[in-house]
Parts: sequence; C-alpha cells; structure tokens
Amino acid sequence: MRRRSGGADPWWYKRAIIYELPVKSFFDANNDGIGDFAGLLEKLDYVEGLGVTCLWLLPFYPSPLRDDGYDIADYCGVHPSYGTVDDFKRFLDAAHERRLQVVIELVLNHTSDAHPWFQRARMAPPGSPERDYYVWSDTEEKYRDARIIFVDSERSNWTWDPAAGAHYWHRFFHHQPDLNYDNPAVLREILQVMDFWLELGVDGFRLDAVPYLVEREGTSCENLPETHAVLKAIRRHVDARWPNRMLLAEANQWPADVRPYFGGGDQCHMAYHFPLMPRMFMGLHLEDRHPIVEIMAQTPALPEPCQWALFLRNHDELTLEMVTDEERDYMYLAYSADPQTRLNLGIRRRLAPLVGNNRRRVELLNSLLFSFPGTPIIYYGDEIGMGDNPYLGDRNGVRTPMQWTSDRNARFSRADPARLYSPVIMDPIYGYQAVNVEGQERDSSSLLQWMKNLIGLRKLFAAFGVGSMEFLHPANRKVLAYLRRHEGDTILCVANLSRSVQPVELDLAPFAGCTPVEILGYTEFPVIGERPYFLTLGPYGFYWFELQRSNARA
Amino acid sequence: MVSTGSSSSAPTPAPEGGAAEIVVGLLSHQHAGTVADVARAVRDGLARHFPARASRIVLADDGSADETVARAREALAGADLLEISAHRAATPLELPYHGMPGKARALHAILTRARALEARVCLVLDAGVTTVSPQWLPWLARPVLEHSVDLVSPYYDRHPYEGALTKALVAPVLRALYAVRLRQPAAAEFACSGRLAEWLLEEDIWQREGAQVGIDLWLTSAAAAGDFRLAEASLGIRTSAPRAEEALDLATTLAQVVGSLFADVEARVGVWQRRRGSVAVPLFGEPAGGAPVHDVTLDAERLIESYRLGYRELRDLWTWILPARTIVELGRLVSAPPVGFRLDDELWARIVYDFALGYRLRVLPRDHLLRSLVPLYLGWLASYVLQVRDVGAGAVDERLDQLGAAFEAQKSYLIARWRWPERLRT
Amino acid sequence: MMQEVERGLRLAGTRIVDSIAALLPGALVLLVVLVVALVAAVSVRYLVVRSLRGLELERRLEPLGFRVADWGPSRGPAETAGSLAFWTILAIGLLLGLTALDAALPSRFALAVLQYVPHLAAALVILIAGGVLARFLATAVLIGAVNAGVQQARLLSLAVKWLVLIVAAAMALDHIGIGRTVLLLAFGILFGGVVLAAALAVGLGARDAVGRAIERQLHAPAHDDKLDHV
Repeated sequence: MRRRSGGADPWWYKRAIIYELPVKSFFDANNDGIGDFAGLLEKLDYVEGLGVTCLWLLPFYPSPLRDDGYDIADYCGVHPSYGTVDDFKRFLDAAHERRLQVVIELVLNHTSDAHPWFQRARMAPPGSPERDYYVWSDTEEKYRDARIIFVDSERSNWTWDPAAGAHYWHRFFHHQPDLNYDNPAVLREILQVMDFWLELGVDGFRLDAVPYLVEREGTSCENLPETHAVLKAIRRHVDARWPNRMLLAEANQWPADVRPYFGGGDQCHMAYHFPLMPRMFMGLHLEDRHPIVEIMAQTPALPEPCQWALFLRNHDELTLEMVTDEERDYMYLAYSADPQTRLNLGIRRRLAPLVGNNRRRVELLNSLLFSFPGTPIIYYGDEIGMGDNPYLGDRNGVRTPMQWTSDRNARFSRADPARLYSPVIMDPIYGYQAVNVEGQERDSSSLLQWMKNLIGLRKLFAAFGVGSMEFLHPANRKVLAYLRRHEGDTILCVANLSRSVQPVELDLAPFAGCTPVEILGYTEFPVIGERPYFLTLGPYGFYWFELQRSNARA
Repeated sequence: MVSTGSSSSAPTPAPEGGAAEIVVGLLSHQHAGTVADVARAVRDGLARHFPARASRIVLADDGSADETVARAREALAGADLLEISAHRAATPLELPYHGMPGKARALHAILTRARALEARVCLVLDAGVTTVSPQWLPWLARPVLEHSVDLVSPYYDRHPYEGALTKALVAPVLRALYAVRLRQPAAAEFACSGRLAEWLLEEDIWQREGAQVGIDLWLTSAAAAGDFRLAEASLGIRTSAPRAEEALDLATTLAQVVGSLFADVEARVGVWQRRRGSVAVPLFGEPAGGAPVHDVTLDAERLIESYRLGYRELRDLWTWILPARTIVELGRLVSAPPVGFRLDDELWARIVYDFALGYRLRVLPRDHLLRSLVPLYLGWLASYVLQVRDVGAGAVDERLDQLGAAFEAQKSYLIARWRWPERLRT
Repeated sequence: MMQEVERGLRLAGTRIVDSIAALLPGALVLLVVLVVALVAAVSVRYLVVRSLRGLELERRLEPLGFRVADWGPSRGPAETAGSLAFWTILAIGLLLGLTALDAALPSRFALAVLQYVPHLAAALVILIAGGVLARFLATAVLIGAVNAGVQQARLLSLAVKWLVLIVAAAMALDHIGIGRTVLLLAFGILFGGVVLAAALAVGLGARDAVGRAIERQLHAPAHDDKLDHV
C-alpha cells in the first residue's frame, strides 16, 4: 500500500528510530566506486528489515565536495555521482512504500563559493540585490567578537574576494560564504528550495549549523534573536503548506542554550542532545552513573511536540566541545590512547572500536540510547559493529563503505578497488571478511540480530518515545536506574555500568503490588513489596521491566 | 404479498435525506431463493420490536446474476424502507470462499451508509440464511441500543464438532491475544454501534491483501483490539441455503482462515503484546435449549491416521517451524494407542503460536506453512472428538473454556519468542 | 624482358590492390558492426539491469518461496540477466561481422553458431526454471498428498520432483539439439515402461486393493466432507 509522506501521525518523529547514512557509502549500483541512490534503493529491504522507521541522508547535492557535501552548489539537484533527481524520487517512493520516512540535510547558513548566487554576487556592483545575498565588508573589523570555529584552517571569518573588491563573511571554511538572512530575498529563495523537496515528498530537514544565521555587531553572532525569527518564519511556512513534516536543528550547544531552538514549539521539532553522548561513554568508563545523571538534570523540559535526538556516534568525530577541560582530558586518556584518533576537539572513531569491540558494552550503550527520552539515531554500520580507519584523514575514517559481504570491496561496489571513494576496512578484527551483513544475517546470535530485536522492542512501548523520565538513586553508583512513564505504562530500566556483577536495592515502594515483567524474555519477576527491591546485574547487564498492575484489564 | 408475521403495524421508514436509528444491511449474492424471506423477517422484526425508531434496510448486492434484487424489492413493496447498493460482479481472480466473493466491498458499503445515516446501530445479515426470524432483530440490536454494547456477535446452537477450526484455533487465539472470550467470532451476522462502525471504516483492513477471505475475522479483531464493549447474542440455529459452488477442501479453508488470522496478528503486535488475562462477554437473547442439531459423525481413528501420516511425511518440514521439544512430543503421540490419544491443549497452543511465528518470519512459503498445519489440527480434533463424543453441551463449553485457558497460559511463550525470535534452522 | 617483369609486377600489384580493395569494405563493415554491437550491448545491459531493478525482482520472488539471495554469492538476478544479454549481443555482432567479410568458412561457421545461440540461452533458462519449480512443486505435492491422505506422499513428491527435473533437462537438451531422436526414444520407452508397469502392477498384483479402494471411493464419502470447520 502506498503511503504519502508525513504519515497520519503528527508526532511520528517522537516514535521514530532514525538511521543515518551517507548515500556515497551505502551501496554502489553502477559500479563507479561511489554509492548512489539506485544502490540505496536496492538496499532498502535491508533497512526495512532492520526495523528503523526513518532515514536521514547526509548531503547529496551538487557540490565541489570540499567539505563532504556541506558546501552546496545547487540546492535543487543531486550530485551526478549519486544519480539524478529522478533517482531520488524513485528511492523516496520506494521508501514510503516500505513505511520509511526520509529526512534530508539542508545547509541554511552558507553555500559553496561555486554556487551561482555567490558567483553572481561577486560580479554584481556593491549595493545591488545580487550582491546582497551574502555578507560583505570593506574591512575585516566588523563582528570581531565572533569566534573562529575551524581554528586549524581559518585565520579570520573574513576573506578577501578580488573580483568583488570586498571581504565576505564565513563562519566555516573560506570557500563557504555565509548567506545574508537580513535580506528577505535569501529567505524566500531558501523557502522555495524547501518547497521543492517537500513537494517531492521528503518528511523533514536536518538544518545544519543553525546558530549562525544572522550577524550583529558587538555579539558572538551565535543564537541571536534574529536567527530565531528566521527559524520561526521557516516553521510557519512549512506548517502552513505541508502537514506532519519535521525540522531537526543541529546546534552543538549546552542543553539550556539549545532549548530556545524549540521555541514554544514554534521553531524546530527536534534538536540534538550533544553533551549526553560523551557522558554516556564517560559513565561507562568511570563505572559511575554520575556524569549521565548530572547532564540529564541540566536538561530543560521541552514543549510537548518537541523531542531530543539522541545518538552514540555519527558521521563527525565524537565531539568533546560540551565537556569541561578535565573531562576532555579524561576522555582522551580513556578512549584515544592512539593520538591518531584525535581530531579537533574530539575522537574520530566508530562505536565498536571505541569500546574495545566489547559486545556487552556495545549492547549496554545501545540499551541506554534506546531507553533514554528522545529519538535514537543509529549511524550506518554500527548495527553490525563496523570498525574505522583513523589513518584516512579528517573524518573519512568513519565514512568507509558499508560492509555487505566478504566478497571483494565488501560487495559495496564491483568497481576496481582502486576506484572506490575510500578503501574498505581490512584489518583482521573489523575487516569486511570478519564483519559483514551477510554473515550476521545468518548468525542468529550476531549483533545485527540483537539490534533488530531491540529495535522491535523499542517500537512496542510508546513510553520510550514519548514518556517521562525519572531517575532512581540506589546506593550503588555503578548502577543506573530510571523510570519511563506514559499514560498507564511504567517501564523500569536498570543498567550496570561496570565490568563486574553488581547488586542493587531499588526503592520501588510506590509500585508495591506490581509485578515487574522483564521485557526481552517476557519473564515475570517477584512482586514488588514495601521493602527495597533487590536485583543482581551481570557485567554490563541491563534489564527493562514493564511494571504490571495485577488487575491489568477489567 | 405474503407476510410471515401477523403484525399489522409497519416500521417507521427513515425520512428522505434524514437520519435512521437502525440500519439493517443485507449481504446478498445469488440469493433469489431466500432473500425475500429474510427481508420480510427483518421488516416484521423492525415493525414489532422497534416501531418508533426510524429504520432503513440496505441491500448490498454483489453482482447477482439472478433475481435477488427484484425479489427483495417485491418482498418489501409498500414500505419505504429499502435501498439497493449494488456492486459489479466479482472478478474471476478473487478467491472462492464459503460465502460471498465481494464481501469486503459490500460490508464497506453498508457501514458507509450507516455512517451517512447516523445510525445508532447497524445490523448485518446474510441473505442466504434460512433461519432468520423477526426475533433476531431485538436480540442483536437491543444490547447496542439499551446496554451501550458496541459489537454483538451471534452465538448459535451448533453441534460440538461444527466449526471445529473456529473452536480449536480462531476463538482461543482471539481470546488469548485480545482478552475477549467470544466463542463464535468472525460470524457473518453481527450488530455494531455507530461508534464502532465509524472506527471500522477508518481501520486499515479494507485494502489489505486477502480481505475477501478475512474481513469477518478482521472486523471482530479490530473491535476486540480497540476500546469497545463486546457481547454475544444467542440466536438459536443458523442454517443457510446450500451454495451452488463446490465446497472447498479442508486444507484450503484452513490456509485461508488461519492465514488471515496470522496476518492480522502480525499487524496488531502493539495491542496484543500488552493485553493480559481475559474477560467473559455478556450473553443476550434466548439461552440455548438443547436444540435439535443435525447429526455429525467423525471417525476419530481416521483423524489419528491422518495425523500419523502427517508426522511421518511432514516432520522434516515441521522442523523449520517447531522446536525440537515439540517434535519429540508429537513423535511420542504417533505410537500412542488410539483410545488414549491426547494432543494436549498446551502443546496445541504452542504449535499454533510457533506457526504464527513461522508465518511472520517466512521460514517457509506461507501457503506451504499453513497447509502443513492440517495434520496437526486433525490430531487435536481427534483428541477433542474422543473427549466430547459422549458428554453434554455444558461439558463441551467447559472443555472449550479449558482450551482457551491453555492458550492464555501459553501466551507468554508466544510473546517471548515474538520479541526475541530464535531461528531453528539456518 | 624488363617489360615482362614490369608488367608482372604491375599485375601482381593490381591484384593485391584489388583484393585489398575487395576486402576493405568488408573489414570496414566488420568494424562498424562490431562498434554498433558494442554500443547496443552496453545499452541493452543498462536497460535490462535498470528495468529488472525497477521491477524489484527479488522482492517479488521472495513471497513465492524463491530466495534469490541463495542463488549466487554476489550477483543479483538483474546483473546476471544484464551480462547475459551483453555477451549474447556482442557474440552475435562478431558473427554478423564475420559474415560481412564474405569469407566462406567463417560465414558458414557464423551462421551455424548464430542459429545455436538462442537455443543455448533458452536451454539455460529452462534448466534454472526447472530446478526452482521442482523444489517448490515437490513440497507442495508432499503437503497436498499428506492432506489428501495418500500414504505414499513422499514417493509422489519425489516422483514429481524428478519428473520436472528430467523433463526440464530433456527440454533443454532438445533445444540445443543434442541426441534428439535418442532422447525421444528414451523418453518414450521410459514413460511407456512406467505406465505399463504401473498398469500391470495395479491390474495383477494389487487387484484386490484397487477394488477395495474404488469401492471405498464410491460408497463412503471422505470423512470431513460433511463437517463445516469454520
């Protein structure tokens, strides 16, 4: 049955499980060494079988690819290596047919310097409407209070353009000039771009680098009220014409600073919870729940239609911007003994290598991801425990081809291995001969099968997506225990962050008389009484309980 | 015009373009012989029991080539009650079924009409039933009108062996999964409230593959899965006019019925995995009174023989679906003497659940999977026949209640396996 | 003398030039045909792969019980069909080109091979389809026979399986044209033999059993005929 985009559920993104993937890395159908939409279409059955409900595609627009596609040269096209707009449309329809929703990337803040708008602007006389699409200045003295983000490669936020005879403003690379949102024409253009994709049927946008849209003298030029006004205008426009579509903001900030991007439910539907992720890894390594509980305590409540997006790993480095200096040192010592794996303020590794390929730790972290309040995002390949290659430079080490089988090129492509956009992982532990989809599909105890089962469970209980969160405080700090509640349902999650068996006594007095039923195996545990409830957890063990009242349904 | 009733008063027809409190839908397909009697019974029932309520009869005819429509018109001439909702004839591609070919379409038409007329209760009757009496109308409609019940499912007097597949499999599975103890679910006749009709029309069942076969069952399960009040109405005996087309063989019938049940189970995971226990539903109407049911004989030994043959030849196939423990238990039964032959209820429940799981995971082509269940079903039927052949009606009900309880007890087995499936062979 | 030599040389020269001139158009045609065939092959392969992918063959076959993934280690059915088409067209192109050269031997050879190619392809398709069909039918027959109460269900299923396989093999061989007469004869003997043996066995050996069976069929209807299971 064909289903239109957006679906009937306006809060679909709260119940979603998102699968993040770069088109170029997934599957290559035309055997040119680069993944494409035709290939992605072929592998949709795999994605559907995994059980995820939504795909998030990294940028696939025409681009000089000097920032992995985040430098867009044409907002309404598809990079020729990945196919055509028709290919995209075909893929989108096939995804909708399988009840998969599709979120695409939209870079609002800047374009590539190859974009026709910029080429037009630099040739146009100062003061003309064309010139006004970007931010120009005769001196480098404007907006001195804005920090430089890419300290390693850029010395200023201004770059001289000889053709224009002026400096242009850029918060990221010098080949990514910032659009001028003080010019209403720019917003109109961007809204037209959004209409183009929404008309095709995409279900949402991930809005890249939203804090930097507008500049004002004497400010850091981040999170300005004018920026929020732009977001509100975008939201109004989308809501008016396209029901049930979603906007996901990328704002790498502290939770309290991200909160304004939700507005009163009138800006973005979702935003990433950046600081949670390093603290999950830290809690695991410290064998102490404190970092996790602390960051959740700092997390503000959201308006009802809004939702956090949670992830363990993504296409960037494991960012350590949102931790203290001491915590950063700890993380480096704990997770990147090899200096080669450090990049900017972070660690460029995938999930499995980060935790020493320890299956139990991978499972524990995933159980936290799937039971914390928010929508989980799985990074492609992490469901089979793929490895990385830190020697590939920048963040390319975590963007290697998906490993399908143990055939040549991991069957990602039939091209000559030298033609691949990136070499496949070949080391003895994580290499495609050892870690691949085909093998794990057959192995009933593989990580892939485990992930499929866990995803199925998460979808069964609405409380995980939309419920409230409440921590318990047992004396043993190696154990993390919390309740998720939604309507009549209560789910108790208990996780052991340590490498050894741990006892825990939980104060469950409010639930006296209830029976905890372990969700994975549907096993009934002893009824809860007035006294503390005693449990033992194996190394990195976790339990999910459904607390059932004895008079369940009358 | 011959009237079956002696009533002189006439039912109140719904005013043109206005609302009707009671809508009676008649499903017909080549029913020229019986439709007139059914229509008159309905008219008399309405006149006698609901004279004050505005009512309407909708004949949903599925491309009858005979005079069904004309006969119905003729029978109700005079009373401004009837409207016809005719459909194109079913395409030859649609599967034959004991019933009507275009059933889903016809049902949808009746419910749509009931919604448009803002009916408080909508009755659906099969125009081929020869035992419809005016009394059926109050028994079906009163629970909805006076006791705010949402779905009234009929409870007919049937021989203990009749409807064995429903008794052995469909009813217990529905009871265990949705916590409602309907003894004869998925009947062709039923009454539903306006609220339920609206809900059913919104349900994702009309376009599903296999709707021609499964729609009766899916209507029941949709109501059971939602937040609705269910009841049974004892209607006595149901006899329908013999159908022209040939009866289907058991394997095909089972594959159709069980297949549509499993498809529905797969679609409603979120509901049934969270329900626990079960409740009896209230019974309305005339209590069953030892009705003269026509005699049915079943030879238990031949059923056991079919089971043994199945075990011998299909065991290899079953190892794809059933765990080793079950196969061993089945093997033990093969050598058991016929007198003491018992395919235990709990074992049967686990078998059905494992087949549902196998259906979901597609361990075999689905049609093969369903058809290979037949010998196991006959095995259960044999032990059932041996147990109930010499007992009274009350004991039979008790026996079936035990079976339902066994399915409930084994539900955790199904849930645990559904959530964390284990591949038996790879 | 010199004149003779000169004339001879000129004659030889003209002859060579003539024969080259005679051959040249043919070679040119060969070249053109080859290029056209290559272009055609590439585009046909593209079209085949594309359209088969569009059909989502694997997805459609799976409900029927054909796990396409089991077929080959890495090639999907679309790619296989695509490269089959590619090589077929290329081979046909080469043969056509050789014919254009007008060399007697290659052209006859080419014609013979050309006539062979479609048969070969058809034979291959028949074999594959036969194999898949045999497996599927054997299970279906087994289940059907068990449900019909046939005691020799497994035998029946095996018979069907081998029958389909043998018929497929025979059809394939027939298509290639190998041992047509022998094949026909062998089949005739085989089938005739089987039927005759069966008739004799039933008629002589199991006369009573057959009689009883027929009687049962005629007089006692099958046990579940009267029962409404639903």
